[in-house]
Amino acid sequence: MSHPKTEHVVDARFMEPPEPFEKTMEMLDTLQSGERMLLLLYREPHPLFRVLRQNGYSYEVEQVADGTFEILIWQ
Amino acid sequence: MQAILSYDNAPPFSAPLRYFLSAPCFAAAAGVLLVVDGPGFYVSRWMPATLAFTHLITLGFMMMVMVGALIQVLPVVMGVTLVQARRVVVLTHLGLALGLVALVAAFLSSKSWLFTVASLLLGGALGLFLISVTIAAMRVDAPTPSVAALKSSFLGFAGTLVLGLLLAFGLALGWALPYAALTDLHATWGLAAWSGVLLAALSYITVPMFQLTPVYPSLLTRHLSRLLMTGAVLQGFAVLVDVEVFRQLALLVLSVAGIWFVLTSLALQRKRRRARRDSTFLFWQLGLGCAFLALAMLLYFVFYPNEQNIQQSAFLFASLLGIGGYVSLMTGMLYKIVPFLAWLHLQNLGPQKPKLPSMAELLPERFIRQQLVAHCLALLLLLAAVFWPVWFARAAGFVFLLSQLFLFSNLLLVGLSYRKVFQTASNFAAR
Repeated sequence: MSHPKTEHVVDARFMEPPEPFEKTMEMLDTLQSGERMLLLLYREPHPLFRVLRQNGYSYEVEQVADGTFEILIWQ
Repeated sequence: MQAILSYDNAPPFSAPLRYFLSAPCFAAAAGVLLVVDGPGFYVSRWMPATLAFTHLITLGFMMMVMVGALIQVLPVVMGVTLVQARRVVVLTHLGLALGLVALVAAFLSSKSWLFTVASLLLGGALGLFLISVTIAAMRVDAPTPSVAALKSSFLGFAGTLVLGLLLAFGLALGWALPYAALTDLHATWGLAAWSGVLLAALSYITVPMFQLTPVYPSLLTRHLSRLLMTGAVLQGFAVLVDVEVFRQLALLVLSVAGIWFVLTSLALQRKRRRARRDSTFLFWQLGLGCAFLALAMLLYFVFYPNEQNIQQSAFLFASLLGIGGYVSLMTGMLYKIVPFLAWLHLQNLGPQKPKLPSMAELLPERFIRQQLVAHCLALLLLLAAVFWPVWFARAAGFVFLLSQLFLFSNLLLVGLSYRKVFQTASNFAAR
């Protein structure tokens, strides 16, 4: 799946917890340095943000017109 | 990944779990009361055992679940940090449990000193909790609909608590108060302004999250709490000035608001993105259906009061809304939240963690489904008991007791699985 912001995308909008979390962690493990991933959700995943912060990841959240939150994550 | 979470911004799994495990225990005790009391229970809603039963469900089950959910959902899902979390968690639980025992004993024995003890314990514990969550919620910058609704619910909580304490102290000290009207007001604030608004606030997050429905429409999320609070305040006003038409208007507003939430939730469920009819979905269908019936009943009685069968109507309404509605909805939520929280906490075991069980392995669906069947049976018997207490009262109490013990064992299973994985992981790390 690709997206203007990055080609590494996890579209978790149709996943039940904890799959969004799991898929995000899996993708982060495969990223090369300098690469970024995008997580798509219909809410802001606070538990995930906490874990990202504690593990040295940065993220940026943007909400688009259809209600999707686009969460860009990088290290 | 190592993750060090402070107690304040993410209480450990044991923090909410003690509340979630207490809830079915108190509900089971309510079942015991019904078994012991039998048909006499249904003579009047003012019977000692009936009042005790009511509070075992509202404080013992509903309040325990709501406080437990707030303790964990606030920090973990909404990013809201509790103040003095460890003390608040422990003291609130103790005060609530002991206070409820005292209150039940007070109702059953009519001893005024027990009402005093109950008031002090419940007032202290719940007051402390209320202050803690209010401070936490006020610190949140992002004004999402859930947070706004949450703040309203704390007002509802405060109102319910004040009215409850007023009634309890009045009974303890023999004050001349309009007890019937105040009790109805206390019940309205408890069911609508506190539980109703809180349930709505949590639903805005958990229903789309766990049931993969679209989000709640903004028209509802912006106005529902306000409507419920308006209805509750109107009823307060009605009691103050003793004017019947205000009371009717209040009930009209409340029932319409409740029906709005129920119908919207049902509509959202029909638009689920992955149409799995799992047990939580079924608990919610049951809960929403019963709530709808109860609220439709309420609306009907605003226009056509049923003077003749007022006790029976009250029991039917309470059974439908309380056990059919709130207990079903909260149970459904618990079956998603508890395994999810266990799983989330296990994520923090670090890179040495063993292979984690999936959420489905933490609590198999078939156990949930079986408990759902038990709960439905209990509900049917409870509703039958309203009309034929001599036949059904004790059976209803017994089956309800069993269904709650079953719920307890399901939740305990999650706790035990969590502990087993945790201990295995600690052993790994120690090598």
